[in-house]
Amino acid sequence: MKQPEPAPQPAAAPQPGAVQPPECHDEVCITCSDTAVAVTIARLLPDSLAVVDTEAGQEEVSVALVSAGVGDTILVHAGEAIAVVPT
Amino acid sequence: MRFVDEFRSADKAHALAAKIAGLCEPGRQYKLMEVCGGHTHTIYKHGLEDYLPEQITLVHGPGCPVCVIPMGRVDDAIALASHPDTIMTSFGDMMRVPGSQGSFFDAKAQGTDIRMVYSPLDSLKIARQNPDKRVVFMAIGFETTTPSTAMTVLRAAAEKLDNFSIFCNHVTIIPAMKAILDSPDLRLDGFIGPGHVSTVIGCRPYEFVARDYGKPVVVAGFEPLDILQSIYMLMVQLSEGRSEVENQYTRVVPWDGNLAALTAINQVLELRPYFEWRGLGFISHSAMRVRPEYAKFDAELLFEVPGVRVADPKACQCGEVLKGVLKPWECKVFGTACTPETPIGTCMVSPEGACAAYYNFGRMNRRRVVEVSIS
Repeated sequence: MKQPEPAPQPAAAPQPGAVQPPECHDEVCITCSDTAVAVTIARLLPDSLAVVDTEAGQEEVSVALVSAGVGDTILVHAGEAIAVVPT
Repeated sequence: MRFVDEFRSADKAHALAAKIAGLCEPGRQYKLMEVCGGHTHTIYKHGLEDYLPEQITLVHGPGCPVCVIPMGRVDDAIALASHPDTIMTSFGDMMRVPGSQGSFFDAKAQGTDIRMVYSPLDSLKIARQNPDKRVVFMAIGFETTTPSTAMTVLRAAAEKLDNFSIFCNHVTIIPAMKAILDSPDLRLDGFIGPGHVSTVIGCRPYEFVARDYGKPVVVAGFEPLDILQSIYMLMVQLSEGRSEVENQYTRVVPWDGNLAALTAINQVLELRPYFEWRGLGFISHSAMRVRPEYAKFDAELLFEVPGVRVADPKACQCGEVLKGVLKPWECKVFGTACTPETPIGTCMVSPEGACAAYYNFGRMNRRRVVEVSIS
């Protein structure tokens, strides 16, 4: 049986249960039902994607489910905007 | 963030707390459930319980998807990821959830290719970059993450990306609330409704709670004043003998939800006849699976999945905590054998889990902090 290729590893191999995942924003997990991240749209891309400004830099998210333009603040959950936040 | 200052004013919090206390009937105890783990986190991060009179008890609900996933599904996911030429992608907090043979981190340490991603879109990128591998996204979450998964499947279908699939564990909040309302263990007076779930599903689905069970629901935001105001709104309803659905979080929750998101979910996913929830058991129509039209993106059909039901560790009382029957500190292993670094139960894994929230913010027992003014 072909062995799976090793996945990219961080410098120190994670110990079971000892690593705090980096995905949590403001100490809150992103898979939860209810803490989304409010970000501002920097530019729109094809295929209903957008580049947004976050505290950690720019990220690409989907804006397929909202009607939003550059400068709008959107609520993003797991890479998908689910609402436009009024400003 | 623009809202932080406006919604974290201590003076306003004290004023609201006084109004809440003024609405308590003498001798009556109130039990209010915050359904969502995000609310639990805010309550303990900001010490909101200390603002409330002793007569009001906040009960922590099952609204943390990582906490309610049963061990058997973790085992299934690891079995699936262990297939040759397979890459499993997962959100970070899922990585530490213990299955019967260990967590995703344990499997990764043993050579299984499991990678953390921020969103399912990242999984699509991995699938594009690895055309000779099968990439499976561990899809988990309530209705806030479900649209993201559904849209990703639609994108994969449009691209004809045949090496991408999802292992669907999406759950829905309404059947869980109904299960709690039908539980003989617990008497609740009202619900603090989930905020961003309601951004997607709207407020209408909660109407049965008010109509059929006579319990008020107030959909709430996530800042401290949002939650205190929602508790005040619930107390006003209770004092007036009303049970209605109200929306405190009007700035992002439309009454009818996000129609585009609901349409995408409905296009790709359908309700399962039943699904096991940790602590709550099997609940009818409480989770989603991939529709037959998108079967080639359904990892449960593409791979052999053991599907074995695994009982929780005997020492763990997550079930009672998830139903709000026990406070975390009443569990035998809380803070001793079970900590965020070495979780036994799922409630200690996610920062939104009730046990982790209690542990991280120092709530090791029933003690409340009482503010004393010195003049």
